[in-house]
Amino acid sequence: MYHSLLERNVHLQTDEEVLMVVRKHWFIHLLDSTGVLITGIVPFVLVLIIAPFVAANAAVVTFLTAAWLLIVWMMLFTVWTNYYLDIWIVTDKRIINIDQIGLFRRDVSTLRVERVQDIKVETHGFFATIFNFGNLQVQTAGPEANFYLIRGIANPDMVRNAILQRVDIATEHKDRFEYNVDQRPSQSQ
Amino acid sequence: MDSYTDTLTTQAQIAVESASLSVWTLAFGALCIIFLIYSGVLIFHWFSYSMHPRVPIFVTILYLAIGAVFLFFLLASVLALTTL
Repeated sequence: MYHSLLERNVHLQTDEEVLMVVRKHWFIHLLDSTGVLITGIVPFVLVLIIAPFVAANAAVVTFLTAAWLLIVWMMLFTVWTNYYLDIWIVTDKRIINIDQIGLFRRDVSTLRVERVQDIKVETHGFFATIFNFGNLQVQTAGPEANFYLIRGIANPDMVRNAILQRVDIATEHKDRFEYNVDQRPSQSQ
Repeated sequence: MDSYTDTLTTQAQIAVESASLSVWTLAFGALCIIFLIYSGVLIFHWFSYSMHPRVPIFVTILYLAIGAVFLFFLLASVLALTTL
């Protein structure tokens, strides 16, 4: 069931094996959510400040507070959706980056592991060091060198090692195949 | 104040009150429509792109349940504003 949904969404090949699904660290999600949650406290603070000075209708206050909280709830859920659906899928053949940017923008990019040249891990800051999250930058080979960047992922070193392991296997396999092609006697001889 | 002016004042007050009441009702309706459309898009995303089949179901229930609480308070306050 897990693989059928995955295959339907990202069109995995039949013999392709998913090694890991990487998501942003929960601390990044917590930071994003905290901003929205603080916004949710605003009406209660306002009521506490204004209530002694203004005799407001209780129904009006309830309406405005509920409307505000409904909007905050929708914003919070959007942040949650972006966090949950923004993922990297590392398979034995490819790295698939599904970038959920808002509700109406979704970028899906694919990188074959043979094209990976170098991987850089950046861990900046106190919380990133304590909670072990950071940025992962993948440099690709080819005429135009591109960088694939994922920000704030959990265990970036583990992810880097897993990708590099697949890169080594793929490169070794490719070299062996190319060697065999060179060593093979041609048909004309 | 004669009876004619008195009647006019009463009618004007009723008109103002009904207009202000309809503003609350309209605001409630607008919020409901926005919430429904937004919910539809969000839930569509979850069912389309989630990796696990059960997660979107739980998420939808949670989202709509908490949203319904706020809508209930909105409805209750609109009813209070329109009836009182």
